[in-house]
Amino acid sequence: MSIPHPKGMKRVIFFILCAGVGGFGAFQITRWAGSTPPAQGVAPLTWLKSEFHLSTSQMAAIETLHHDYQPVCRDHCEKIHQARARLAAAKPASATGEANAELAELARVEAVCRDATRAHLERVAALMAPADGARFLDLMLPKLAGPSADASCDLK
Amino acid sequence: MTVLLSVAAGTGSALALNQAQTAELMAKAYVRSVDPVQMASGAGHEHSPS
Repeated sequence: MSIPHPKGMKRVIFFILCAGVGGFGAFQITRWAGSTPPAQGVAPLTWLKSEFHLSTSQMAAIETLHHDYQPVCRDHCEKIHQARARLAAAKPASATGEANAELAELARVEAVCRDATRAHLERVAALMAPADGARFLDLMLPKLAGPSADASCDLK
Repeated sequence: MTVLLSVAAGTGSALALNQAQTAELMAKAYVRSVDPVQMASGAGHEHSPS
């Protein structure tokens, strides 16, 4: 085994350093250039169209679904508010029977709402190409709110 | 050549990371706009993702 010439070694080290600096620099510049918060200005439906390759007819069908779901969503939101208000009125900290019943009712209402939201997302996914629909559900379903075991924390 | 490959790899991985982060943020915003449980917890009540 021959020992590399010091000049050759310096050259190799120089190239390795250049590659490292170049790669790191390119990474940082690209990250910085793309760091504009996307949530500002871009509507989720606009993003949905490009991210999941939706055609105009698919997009129209999804918009109709959303339009139809809005009153349902609003109604569920109202029911959750009412259930939380009743729980707050029942003084959950005292753990009375009434508070426990209201807590159970809140959990039931939230479960109904969660199921409705999940069904809505599945209907949206069904309008997409199968691969895009599966990716949509993989991305969206984990973001649904879980059971609020500490629902009383939200009550002020 | 090695330097160019390294730059391309750096750019590519940063683009992939940016895209993944954008998808996460937009997906969160989208789900928040259709999930009444999250909406009822937040201050704003935006019932439309459009």
